[in-house]
Amino acid sequence: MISPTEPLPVRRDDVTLVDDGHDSLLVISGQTTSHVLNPTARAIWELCDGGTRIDEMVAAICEVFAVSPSAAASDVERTLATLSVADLIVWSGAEVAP
Amino acid sequence: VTTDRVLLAEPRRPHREALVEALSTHPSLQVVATADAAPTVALQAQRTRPQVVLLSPAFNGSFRAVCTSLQRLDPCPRTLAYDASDEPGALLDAIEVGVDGYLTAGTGIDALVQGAQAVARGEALVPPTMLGPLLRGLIDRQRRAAGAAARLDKLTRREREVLGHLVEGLDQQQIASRLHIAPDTARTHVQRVLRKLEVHSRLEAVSLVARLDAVEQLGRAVERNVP
Repeated sequence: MISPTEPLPVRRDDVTLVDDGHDSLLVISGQTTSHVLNPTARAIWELCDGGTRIDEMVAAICEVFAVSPSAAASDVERTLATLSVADLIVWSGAEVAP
Repeated sequence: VTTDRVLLAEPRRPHREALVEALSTHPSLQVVATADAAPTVALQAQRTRPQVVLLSPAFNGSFRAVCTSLQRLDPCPRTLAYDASDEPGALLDAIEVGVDGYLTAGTGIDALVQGAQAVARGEALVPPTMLGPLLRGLIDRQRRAAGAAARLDKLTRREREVLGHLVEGLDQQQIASRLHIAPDTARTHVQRVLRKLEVHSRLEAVSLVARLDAVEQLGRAVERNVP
C-alpha cells in the first residue's frame, strides 16, 4: 500500500534512455550533456515510475544480489540522490522545473 | 591463476562436446564432469564438488527440478545458466529457482568463462539490460504475494482449518467428518474460503497456499484445535 504522503521517485518525461550496446546514457531533452549509468543505476532509474516504493526496490535488489538489506538500501538511496541531483528524476508531489 | 572447477550440465551431445573442447583451452576453468540428463546433474555435483554448475536451457521442463536438487547439496554449488532466453519471464523464473548467473544466447565462450569466474567468486550475474525488468518482475511478485497473504489473514480460525484440510486433499465429506460438522456446513466454509481468497476453485486455493509457503501456518491452526 502506498502512503499518500510518501514521496516516490518518478522518471522525468523529457529524459530519454540511449543504449549504445556498451553504456546506458540518459539525456535530458534540449540539453547536450548526457549521464552514463551503470547497470544497477539504470535498473533503479527504470523502476522510478511514481508507484514503486524504495523498500520494494531494496527487497528486489536483495533477492538478486547477495547483499544485506542495509547495504542495498544505502546503494538505492545514494543512486536516487544522484539521479535527483542530476535532474533525471523528480519526486511525486514535487513540481518539475520548467 | 586460480582454476575454478565446473560441472557442465548439457543434454545436447554436440553442444556438450563442443563446450568441453572450448573450455579446455581456458586454464582458469576445469571441467571436472559433465551431465547429460536432469537426474544425473546433482549426482555428478555431489561426486565431483564443482564450484559452478553450467546449466543448459535444454533441460526445459526439468530445469526447476535440476536447480532444486542442486540446492539440496552441501556444499551447494553456484549455478550459471547459459545460452538462456532473453525473455524477462525466463530470467525471473531462473532467479526464483536460485540461479546465480544468467547469460543469454549468443554469449561467446570468453564471456561464459568470465561469467563462470564471476559466479564462482560469489557475484550475481544478470544481463545489464534485463536487470530493470527483472527487478520489476520481482516487485510485482512480492506485491501479489503480499496481497494473497493479506487475503489469507482474513480467514477465521475455522476457515483456516478447512483450508488446511483442502491442502491435505480432503473432500467436502471428509472435511465434515474430520471437523464433526454437517457436510452442508463444510460446503459453506469452503465457499467462504474461496470467496475470501478470491480464487475460483479448491485447486487454486491450494496452489495459493503453496505459493505463499503457508502450509505450516495452516497446520498449526489445525493442531491447536485437536482435542
